[in-house]
Amino acid sequence: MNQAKCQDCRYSVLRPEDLEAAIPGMNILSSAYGSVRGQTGLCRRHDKFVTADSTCADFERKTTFGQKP
Amino acid sequence: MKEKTAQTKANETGAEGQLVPSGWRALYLKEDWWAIWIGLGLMAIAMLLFHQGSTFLKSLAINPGGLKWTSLDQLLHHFSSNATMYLLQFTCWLVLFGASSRIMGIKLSNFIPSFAFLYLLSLVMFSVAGWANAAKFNLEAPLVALVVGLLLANTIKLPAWMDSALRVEYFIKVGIVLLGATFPLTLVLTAGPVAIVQATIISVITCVVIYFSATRLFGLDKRLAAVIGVGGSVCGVSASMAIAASVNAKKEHLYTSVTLVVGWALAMILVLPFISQALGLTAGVSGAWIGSSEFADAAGIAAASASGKMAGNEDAAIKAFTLMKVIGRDLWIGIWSIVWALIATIIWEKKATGLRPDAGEIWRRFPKFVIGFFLASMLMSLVTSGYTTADFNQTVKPNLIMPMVSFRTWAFIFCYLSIGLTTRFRELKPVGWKAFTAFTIGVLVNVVLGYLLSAHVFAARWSGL
Repeated sequence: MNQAKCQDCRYSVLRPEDLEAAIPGMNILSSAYGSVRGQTGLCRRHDKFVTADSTCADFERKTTFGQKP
Repeated sequence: MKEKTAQTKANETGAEGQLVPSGWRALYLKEDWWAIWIGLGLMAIAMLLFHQGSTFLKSLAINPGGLKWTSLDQLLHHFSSNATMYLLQFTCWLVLFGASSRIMGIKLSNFIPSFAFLYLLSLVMFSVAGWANAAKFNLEAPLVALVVGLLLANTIKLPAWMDSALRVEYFIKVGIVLLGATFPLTLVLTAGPVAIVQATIISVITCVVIYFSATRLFGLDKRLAAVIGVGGSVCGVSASMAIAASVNAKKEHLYTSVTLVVGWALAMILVLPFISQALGLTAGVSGAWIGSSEFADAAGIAAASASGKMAGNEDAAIKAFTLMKVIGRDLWIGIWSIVWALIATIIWEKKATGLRPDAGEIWRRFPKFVIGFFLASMLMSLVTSGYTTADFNQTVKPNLIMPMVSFRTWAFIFCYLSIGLTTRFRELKPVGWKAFTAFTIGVLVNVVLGYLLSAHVFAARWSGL
């Protein structure tokens, strides 16, 4: 059973390169590639931090190329 | 604009790579683990070559920092006669950092030219530090690298792809693992507990001061107060990020933390070494003080290194800093994350809470590179334990320990330059005066308390390093 988690949501920013691009200055004295970040990511819908396992009512599954949402 | 579009597209498609490396995948997708593989790998090769009687690694670990040159001809002669070895060394660093960065998802086409630039600039920094009169003008490599990096980043518009190889945290982690190879295990065991006690006292008090200043004095959002509280007391932006999901922080809260941490951390790199010198602190005391005052590992090592050089014992300052910051503060980030998740779920309103406390966070957020530091210290202590002091100083030190010190210095210089080159003040978001003042109160408490504990209460411990 696939749960609707943030890691599958189109609003989540979880990849390190995307996270560093979303937060200017984050790479100066920190890193999105490090262990300390754990599974933390950014929700673009609510503009707040979540983890990959978080869930919410506004979940929208990511699409793949050529697939309609 | 293009970057934003690409980012959105990648997120929507889940295009390449693992979004959140977890489990075994973290072993090759997180820079903490790569720092361990590179640090311990270099150490294993060094030990193997040492036991075979080879001096190759000693030659490969070349840098012009200790030249004490007095004329440019002397410096140019050094480079021309060692050109092959420098080329080989560059290739080795490029392969190690390039391959690992590629596996973590960084484009090689961006990484290679960026790293080549970083390496050449590092040679220039080493050369400046290797000038016979450098100490007279306080031209310490960390300070020069930081200032040069800042000037370049804020006067010339460097292309965005340059950031690909400017991995501040990655370099500092590799450097700290390599530092473990020159860190006697007995010192970790005897001074470590003192560092934990001192760092815990300071971290808890500073965090509480910032949190209550922000919420009670200035009426700021408690989530923002928590994010800047741990940022100013535990481990800068990394700690802020670690608790961000626990307290349901908003993006603007982290922006605030980034600006405050970077601003104060840079100011302290440039100021603390000179205050230490003016107060006549020993290198060990100064390193401990900086370890309890600086928020970020990279900024702290730069300050400790500069301060140690000014006091005539860089090694003692870096060791005291590492004990205080890495062992005393960094190790406990996962616990801070759980504590804030508990506060958010039990004390704050249910609606405002983020995540349920989960003991697994302690391991997930554990800064794994510290494992490499401990392993390096244990392995080197074990391997060198059979040597007499005379043999150690005559054979082991020049052929095994010093090459490791040189590799560590290279990793640190990459880091110092990267701090400056990635700090573009125009990109930092402005911060409100209330958040600035609350954070500044915490910084002042932190610095004063750190001084009292390092230079008075535990002075005997740190002076003896």
